Amino acid sequence: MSDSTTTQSVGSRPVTVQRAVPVTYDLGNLAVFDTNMMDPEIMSSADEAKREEYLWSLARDSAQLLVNQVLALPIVTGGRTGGDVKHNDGVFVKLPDPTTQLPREKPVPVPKPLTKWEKFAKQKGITPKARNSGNLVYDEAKGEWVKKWGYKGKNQEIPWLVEVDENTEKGGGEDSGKSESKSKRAKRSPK
Amino acid sequence: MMRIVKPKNARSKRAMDNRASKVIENTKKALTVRGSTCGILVQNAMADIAAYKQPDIKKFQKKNEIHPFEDVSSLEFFSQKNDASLIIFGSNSKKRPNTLTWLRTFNYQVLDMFELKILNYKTMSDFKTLAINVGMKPMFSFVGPIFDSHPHYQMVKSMFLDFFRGEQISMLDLAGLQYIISVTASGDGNISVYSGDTSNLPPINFRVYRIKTYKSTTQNKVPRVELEEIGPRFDFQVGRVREADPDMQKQAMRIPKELQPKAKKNVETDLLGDKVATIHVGKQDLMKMQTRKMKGLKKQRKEEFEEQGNDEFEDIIVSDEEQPRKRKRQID
Repeated sequence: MSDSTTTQSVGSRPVTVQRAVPVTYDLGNLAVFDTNMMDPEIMSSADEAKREEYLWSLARDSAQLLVNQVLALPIVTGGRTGGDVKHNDGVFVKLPDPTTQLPREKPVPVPKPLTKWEKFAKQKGITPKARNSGNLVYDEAKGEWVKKWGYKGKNQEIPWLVEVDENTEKGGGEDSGKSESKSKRAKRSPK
Repeated sequence: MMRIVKPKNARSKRAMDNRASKVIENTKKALTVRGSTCGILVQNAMADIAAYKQPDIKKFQKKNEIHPFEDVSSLEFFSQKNDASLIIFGSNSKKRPNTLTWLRTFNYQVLDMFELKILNYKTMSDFKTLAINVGMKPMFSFVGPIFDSHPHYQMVKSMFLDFFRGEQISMLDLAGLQYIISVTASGDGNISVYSGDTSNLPPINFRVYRIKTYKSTTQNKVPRVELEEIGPRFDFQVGRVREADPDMQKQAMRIPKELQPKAKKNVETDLLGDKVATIHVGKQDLMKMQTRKMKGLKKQRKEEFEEQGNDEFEDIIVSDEEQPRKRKRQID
């Protein structure tokens, strides 16, 4: 095991690991998969200390390989750039997506079924009316926003040019546009 | 099955929404459940394992008359009730001494499970080292070809990864690399898969080590890694195994459309491994192309205007001097 070695002597040990079959990584899960055969002699030996030391050395090699890989990942210092970073001290590495697929906990969410009306509207291409559009419309001639209806409303304007209705012309009556007809209507309606 | 109720207030609605199926799922929660006979060894083992799953684990304290390989309905009920999809069930009997049953659920139904008999166990407290901070992501090491070749060991690997990996993150604080879970198994995986008898399968060694890094003199930046065992130390023997139902497994392995990688258009890799792409560029107007600038080729202003067929050519030429005056007059 790692007896109390000084930084100097540990530092001079190698940081590279040789494996006969190259290992595979899943850096998203911080995992390393080593498919090299383990030494059957040591594993079946009765000497537990020897076995433990062998397991320790295997784990150390894996850890070294993984740390080497992780440190090669793009480094982000000072955080706040990634969505998961909640504080901005420390050195962060950007992890790739996991490659080992693990089963989901719950089924993939399915979109809610459309209601009868939604189905119909989709078929007909009916889109919901723009809400809160208000009573104002832009009058290009005036260059300002005017009301659609009501006092000084757009529908109250007297058109500047009206086609003469031949019938009313013959009858001698004069049709001077919408306001006229509106006043007529007002007369007709009971007070 | 429990009745699905409509939430009556905003708080319960939030809680229900949190439980609903999502594209990106929550971290899987775990339960430890005791069987009707569950000795101190198994209890300690479960507590030690739970230490590495904090804070996403709930430890049940009562005994339960459950036999997972005969009836899983109560465990499925626990799973639904606690919204936990990982369960460790501990039991100790004459026939199957000191056994942990690892279960995984999908949609609150048991997906797969297997028994691990504890052959050798050294508790975390025996190591007399400081505990790891809560919620740290472990590193994993799986050594042995058997984890790739034997279905039982593949399941163990998948389960351990699923259980201990914790929150899924895209940014990792390097200070958070604190420990490694090392799982090893000897044997080459050529052992007959469905002999039924699992007693001749090689044991699984489960070790947890703290990582210490030392500045290296051999190479810049890359540190030398040393390990210190912090426990628990387990040697497991695979017992009974229930494989996942193929249909359910298929459902569980589905990747939502939103997470599937988008097929890149017009980008291919050729036989030599080079990236080849087709780029679509709009039609070029060669008339407007900027060629080399030379004095002789420079157009006179007059020519330019004539070419454009500008009617007001005369006015503009004059206006060069006159317009400012005109403006002044207007202002006056």
